[in-house]
Amino acid sequence: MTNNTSLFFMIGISLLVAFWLSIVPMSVSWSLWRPAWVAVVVIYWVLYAPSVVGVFFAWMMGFLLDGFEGAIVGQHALAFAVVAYVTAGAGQRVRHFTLLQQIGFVLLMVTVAQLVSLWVVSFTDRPIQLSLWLSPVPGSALVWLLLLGLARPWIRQSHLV
Amino acid sequence: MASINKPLFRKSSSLAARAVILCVLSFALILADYQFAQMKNVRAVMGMAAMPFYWLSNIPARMSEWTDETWQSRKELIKENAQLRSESRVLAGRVQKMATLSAENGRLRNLLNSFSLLESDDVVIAELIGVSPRIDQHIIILDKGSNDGVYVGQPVLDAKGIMGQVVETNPFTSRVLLLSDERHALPVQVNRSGYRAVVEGVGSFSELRLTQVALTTDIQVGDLLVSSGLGQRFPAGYPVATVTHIVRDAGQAFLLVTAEPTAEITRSRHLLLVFPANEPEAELVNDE
Repeated sequence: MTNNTSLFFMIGISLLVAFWLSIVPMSVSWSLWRPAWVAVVVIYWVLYAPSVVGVFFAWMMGFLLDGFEGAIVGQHALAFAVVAYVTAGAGQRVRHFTLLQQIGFVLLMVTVAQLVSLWVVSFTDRPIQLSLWLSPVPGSALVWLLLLGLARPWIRQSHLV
Repeated sequence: MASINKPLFRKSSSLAARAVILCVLSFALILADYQFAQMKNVRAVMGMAAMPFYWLSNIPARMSEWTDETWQSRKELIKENAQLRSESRVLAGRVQKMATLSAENGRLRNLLNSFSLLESDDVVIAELIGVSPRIDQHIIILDKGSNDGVYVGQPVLDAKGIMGQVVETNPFTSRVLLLSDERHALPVQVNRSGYRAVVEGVGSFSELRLTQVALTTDIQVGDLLVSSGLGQRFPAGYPVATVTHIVRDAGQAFLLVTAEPTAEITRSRHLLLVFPANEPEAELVNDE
């Protein structure tokens, strides 16, 4: 029970920080490389807390992110639902991947999320640059390392997974 | 481990079902976003959830402002005070001249039976509290919202020129589309010759483009472009940009003219929301 509450606490805090980092002002050249913070954190919890964070939760986070960024309503929600579905399905295997394989998986998932978003935006007549949409991908791998470093020992210790 | 395994097999079919339902729901939302203007309000309400985060992100800037104000030495303050005073004197002098000019302009326009254009607009000062994290759109967030009378389509200036226009409001904040955004266009005229053109954003903070300028147009590098007021959205006569580059290619149908915004688009933190004296119709402004 206490484990569960602290897990909820961890999830909440990590998402709050992720949302904050996804809007914190940066210089133009830096914000081009801004990692997809929320997407990576959601993928992490879908993998390591599947009993709490599932497809619906991920969808909700995407919906919130749409509001945060003033994006098309449903854009990130759709992307996150797709990514969470794939991640949840492959979770059993991905949890036993090596670090490099996991990073590869995360890169793939973030790319998928970005491409789904891009696809939704392409319905509008807005001009699109593919490079702008894929530039958050490499940084997201670093975020994954950070998350593993920060949260995994703690998760192990409390026998959550 | 067993506790994970068990629900996984049972859930796998419902997982797909849930994913499909959520995807359909997302598509419904996306479609609604395109089709219905009311979704704008939904988005504004959703944006309010982000408010505390923007406020939090703004703390470092506020802190540095506060420390600047608090730890400034007396000497610096006196110096700044003197500088501000001389600046204010210069401005006051100019305004004096402006009063006579505006009177004269009014008389001349009366002679021509046309309206006076030099009525001064009301302004409200707003502070920048956030910048849209998305690279592909130049949108900033201000700390004044519909509670303060801000409306969609309202022009926004800084001390040096036009910054953009309000595109979304909620009770406490508003989002401003900068004129450097690719979706923004603004009717201007060359201050020197009166030639009218449309200035468009290209997605760069330091560059704007003039469209469909005929090859024979009287336009030079360094020309000031001011708003012409023709779009019915921006009041006439505010500086917008200075021409930086002109390519005259006889093989092309039009001149390639680039300009630099006069407003400090990436640096200004205190902006002016304009309530035009001869206010455009609210209905006109509502469609984006």
